[in-house]
Amino acid sequence: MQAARRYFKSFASGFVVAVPVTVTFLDYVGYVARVEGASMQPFLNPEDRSFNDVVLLNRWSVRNFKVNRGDVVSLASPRDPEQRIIKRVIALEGDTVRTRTYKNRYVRVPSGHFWVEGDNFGHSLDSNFFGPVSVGLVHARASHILWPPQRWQRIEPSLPTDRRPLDQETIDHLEEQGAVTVPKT
Amino acid sequence: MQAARRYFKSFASGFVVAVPVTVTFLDYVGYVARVEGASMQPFLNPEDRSFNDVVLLNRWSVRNFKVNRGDVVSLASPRDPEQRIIKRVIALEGDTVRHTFKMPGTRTYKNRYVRVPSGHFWVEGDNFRHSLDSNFFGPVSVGLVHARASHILWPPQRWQRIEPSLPTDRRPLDQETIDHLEEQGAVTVPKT
Repeated sequence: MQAARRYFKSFASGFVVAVPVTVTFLDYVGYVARVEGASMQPFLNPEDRSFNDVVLLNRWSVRNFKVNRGDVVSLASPRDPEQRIIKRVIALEGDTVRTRTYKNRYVRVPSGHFWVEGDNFGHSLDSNFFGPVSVGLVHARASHILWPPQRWQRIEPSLPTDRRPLDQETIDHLEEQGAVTVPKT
Repeated sequence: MQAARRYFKSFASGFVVAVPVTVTFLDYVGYVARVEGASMQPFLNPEDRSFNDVVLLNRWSVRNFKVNRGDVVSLASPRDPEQRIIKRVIALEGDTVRHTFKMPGTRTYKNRYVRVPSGHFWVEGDNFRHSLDSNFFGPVSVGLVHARASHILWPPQRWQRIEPSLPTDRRPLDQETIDHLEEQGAVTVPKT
């Protein structure tokens, strides 16, 4: 009886310690998540696979909200804070973006915001729909594809060829024409 | 020598446990913070005080992003994610809110009416002319909300529970007024 009690006490105190330690790890270091949906095809969840990709989400790398163009990030959706979406960072604050289906053709990304897009144009609800997104919504950077094993890889920041930043000459020219929309923020 | 080593080991393991336990508490339950600035005067940091208010920030109550009109919340600034600002929630998604802004280069203010998009809310500092809030940067993503200020803890004379409360001129518009404005095409619906 006394041994059982001591066992239970050890178990309980181990448990009580393990929860905060694990939670702190998941919140500050990172965790693993399965990717849902087709908005990042063909890079994630390519069509010839029947299983969804599993990625490693690095929380530590976004603790100061420093993201790079070309990073694949998970963020809270601007349309619903409880929903997480995974997109590619196309442009940062101060950049001029040539948008695809947005109401304005050229947009200057306001401070504190960034422009995200799913690689699967036409099948992605992204900045082309809801505009520049507050960087404060970014949750983690997808650093690796972990599953399936054949697709194991480190995810390097990379922009699709048609989504590269505009060169300064083009931007100056557009500004002269008054073609760049600067959202008020 | 051996006693010192055992002591050090106990200390180290205690420390290693205390950090995650504390961090988890601060992140999921709440913590205490000093209010900077005048944007929430006279409610917070009223001018006749020389000390800043200290508030209790409740993280648990916003874990599902459910906030109420009239709540005082801390959120990441839409202009700089590393900066925390404290404002009052005036309107929620779907609400029609009166947006007051200064005409640039003049001293006159104009009123516009905005439908708050889904996933967003409208926040304002109580100190109208000294607050950078939704009147400046528009509706804010609810995902930026960090905590609800539940109590003023310091100074002791100002100790109180913070109840949700809207200034009299910032109450929600009645449905008749909203219908009327919509007929006139006066309500801006931001695309989100």
